[in-house]
Amino acid sequence: MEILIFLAIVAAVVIVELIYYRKHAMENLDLDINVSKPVASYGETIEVIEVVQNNKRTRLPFLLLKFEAPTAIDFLDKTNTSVSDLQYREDMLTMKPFSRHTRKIKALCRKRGYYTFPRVTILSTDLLFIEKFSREYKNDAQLTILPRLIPPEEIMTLLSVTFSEIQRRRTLLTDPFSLSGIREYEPWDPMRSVNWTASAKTGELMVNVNASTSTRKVTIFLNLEHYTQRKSTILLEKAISLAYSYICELSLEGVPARVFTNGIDTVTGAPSVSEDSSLDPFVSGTDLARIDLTHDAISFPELVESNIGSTSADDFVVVISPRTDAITQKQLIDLKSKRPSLLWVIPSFKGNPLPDIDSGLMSSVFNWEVSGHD
Amino acid sequence: MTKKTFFFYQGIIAEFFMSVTFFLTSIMVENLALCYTPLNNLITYKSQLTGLVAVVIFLIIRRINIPKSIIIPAHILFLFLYCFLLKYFHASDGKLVIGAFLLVAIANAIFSISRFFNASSVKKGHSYLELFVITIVIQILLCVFFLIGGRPDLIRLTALNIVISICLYAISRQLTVLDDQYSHIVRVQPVRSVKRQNLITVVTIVFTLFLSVVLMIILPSKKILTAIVYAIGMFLRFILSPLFKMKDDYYTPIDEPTMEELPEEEFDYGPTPVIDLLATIAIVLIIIAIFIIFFLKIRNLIGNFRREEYISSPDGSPVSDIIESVKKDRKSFFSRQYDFGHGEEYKVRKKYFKTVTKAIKGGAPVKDSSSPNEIREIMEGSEKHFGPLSDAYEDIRYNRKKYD
Repeated sequence: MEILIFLAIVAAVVIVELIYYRKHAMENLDLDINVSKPVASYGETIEVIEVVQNNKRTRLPFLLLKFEAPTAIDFLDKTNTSVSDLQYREDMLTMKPFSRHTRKIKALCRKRGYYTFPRVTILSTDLLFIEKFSREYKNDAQLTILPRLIPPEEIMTLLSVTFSEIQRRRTLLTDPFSLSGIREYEPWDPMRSVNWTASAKTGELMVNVNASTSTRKVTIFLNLEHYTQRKSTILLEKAISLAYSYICELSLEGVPARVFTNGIDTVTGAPSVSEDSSLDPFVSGTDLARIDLTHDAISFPELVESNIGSTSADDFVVVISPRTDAITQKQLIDLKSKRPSLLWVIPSFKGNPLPDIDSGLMSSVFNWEVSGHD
Repeated sequence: MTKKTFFFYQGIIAEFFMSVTFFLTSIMVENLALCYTPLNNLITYKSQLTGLVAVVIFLIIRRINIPKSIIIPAHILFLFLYCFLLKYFHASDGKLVIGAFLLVAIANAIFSISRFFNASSVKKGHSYLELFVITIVIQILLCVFFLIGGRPDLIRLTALNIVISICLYAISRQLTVLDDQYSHIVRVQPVRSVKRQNLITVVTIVFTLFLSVVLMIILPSKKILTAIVYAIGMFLRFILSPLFKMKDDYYTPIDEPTMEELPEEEFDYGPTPVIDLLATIAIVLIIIAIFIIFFLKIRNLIGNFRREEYISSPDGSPVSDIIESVKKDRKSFFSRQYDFGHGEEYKVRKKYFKTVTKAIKGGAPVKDSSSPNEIREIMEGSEKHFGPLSDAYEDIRYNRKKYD
C-alpha cells in the first residue's frame, strides 16, 4: 500500500512540476543580444553580448539561446556555431532565480556591411528535463562594419596628386573673409586691403593678408556599377575601401570631403549620399559600409546629373570607377567640361592592361593597381 | 594527441545504477526459479544482495582501459574468484545454494560484457530507458506470478525493487540527460554552473525520494491518522457541545441502547481506506514540503556568504561569463497601488495596463521608455484588437477627450 502511495506521489509531483513549468518557465525573462560597438572597423575584434535575466523565483535548469549572426563576423569561439548563409549559434546559459547571465563572445569583423541580429530563440526545460519550452524574441541589435582601410603607402600617389592640386588652387584663390595675418604695404597691394587701424597703431601702412580659399573641398563620385558581365564585386569593394581610406587621409590633413555613390543603401534602399562635406570620416564611412552590392546600382550618369548641382565649381572632383565603358567615359568627359580639375581613379588588377581611354580624359586618369583577380 | 585515461569516469554513476537495476531484476527472477526448488526458503533477500559486490567489480572491469580481447577473460577470471568466495562463505549451505548465487553472477557478467561491447549505444543514453522499461516489465510480470502463486512476501520485495528501480532511473536520467541531449554544447561550452544546478536538482530528488520512502515505512501513519481524526472529533464535539446539552435537556432517549450495550463492530469509528490514503498522501507531502523548505533555507543561508558576481572565464578567453543576482521586486501584490483615475478613464487605463503587462510577461519587447505609438506597433502583431484600446488610452493620456 505504502509503495503504491509512493508511486502515486512521485507521479503527482512530476505532473505538478511539469504543469507549473509549462505555465511559468518562459515568463518574466528579459533577453537581449547586442554588440559592444554598433560601428566597428574592419579587422577589429568586438564582443557579441548575450544578456538573459530571470525575474522570477522559478529556477530554470538552463537556457539554450539560439540566434542568427551574420557570416561577416568570425566568432573566436566556434563551438556550436554552424555556418551556412548565416551563422547559427547556440549558447547554454544558467538561469537561477532573480539572476542575470551575461555572456560575451569575442568576434572578428571581417566583411564590410550593415548587419542585424533579428531573431533569437530561447529554449529551456523543466527541472526534470521532461519537456522543452521555447520562445522566439525579436531583437534589434545592429552592427556596421566600416570598409577596410587601405594602408596610406598604397594610396600615397593619389594623395600626393590631391594635395598638390589643392595647394595649387590655394595659391590662386584667396578668401576675402578669412584673414591669415597683417604685413607691411607693398606697392602692388590694392588700397582696399589696407588695414587702417593697424596702420594707425604702427605708423606705417599695413595690409591684410587673406587666407587661401576655404572651399578646399574634395568631392568623390564613386561609381559602383558592375564592371564585368559576371557582376564581380571585388574591385567594387576595393573602390569602396579606397574611397573610405582616401576620406580618412584627407580628414587627417584637414581637407573636408564628400562622397556621392550610386550604390544602394541597405537600410534606406536609396543611393548613398553623404549629407555635407565633413572632416569626420565616420559619417561617410558608415554610409559606405551600408552599401549593398547585391543590388544593382543606379546608372552613373544619373548619379552625376542629380548631384553635380550640389558641388562647387572650385571642388576637387575625384571619380572612382572600376567601370570604364564608353558611356562612363562620355559622362566623365561631360563632367570634366564642368569641373576641369576632375581626376578619374580606375581601380584595376595588377598586370591587367588599361582599356582604351578617350584622349580628352587621358590627362585625368589615375590607374590604381590592386593585387588579386576576379 | 589526447592522452588515454586508465579509467573511464564519465557517466559511471548512471551506469552503476543501471547495473543495480539489472541485478535486482535478476535476483527476483532467481527467486521465482527458487520457488520450484527445495531451496525456497534457504536463500534470503539480504544474502542475495551480497551479489552487489560482483556488480561493482564487473563495472570496474569494463571501465578500465584494457584491450577488448581481455574483457571476457577478465570477467571469467572474476567469476572463478567469486565461486571460491561463495564456497568459503556458503560452504555449509550446499552446492545448490552456491550454484544459485553463481547463476546471478553469470547473468550479470553477461550483462556487463554486452554493455561493454555496445558502448556506442550506451553512450547515447537511449539504452538506459530501454533497460529500465524491460526490467520494470519483467518485475511487474513477476509480481503477477507471485500473486498467482500466493507469495505476498515476494510481491512486497518485487514492489520494493520496482520503487528502487524507478528512483535509480530517475537519478541516472537526471545525471546523464545533459550529456545525452545537449552533448554538442555541454562538451565544449563553459556550463559548469548549469551542471552544478542540475546536481542540486539530483540531490533534491535523491533526498526527497529516499526520505519519503523511509518516512513512509517508519512513520506509524495509521496511528497518526487515528490521532488526527480523534482530535477533529474532539474539536467538533467541543464546538457542538451546547447543542448536545440542549438535546440532553429536552430529549432523553429511553429505548436507544447505551454505548456499553452496542456490539463491538458497530463501535469501530476508525478511518476508511479512502481517508487513510488521503491522509498518508497529505503526511508525505507535508514532509516533502518541510524538507524542501529546509533545504532552500540552508542553501540561501550559504548563498549569503557567496560572492554576488561570478565570472567563469579568465581574461583573454574568447568567451566570458558573468552571473550575477538581480534585485528582487519585494513589493507585495497588495502594496502596488496604481491610480487609474475614475469612471471611464479608470476602465480604459486599467484595461490598457493589464493588456500591456500581460504582453510584457509574454515576452513583448516593451521598454519603460516606449511611447503608446511604439507599444501599439509592438502589440498589433499579437493583439488584434489593441488598436481601439490604444486610441482610447491615447485620448485619455494626451487629454484629447475629457472623462469623468
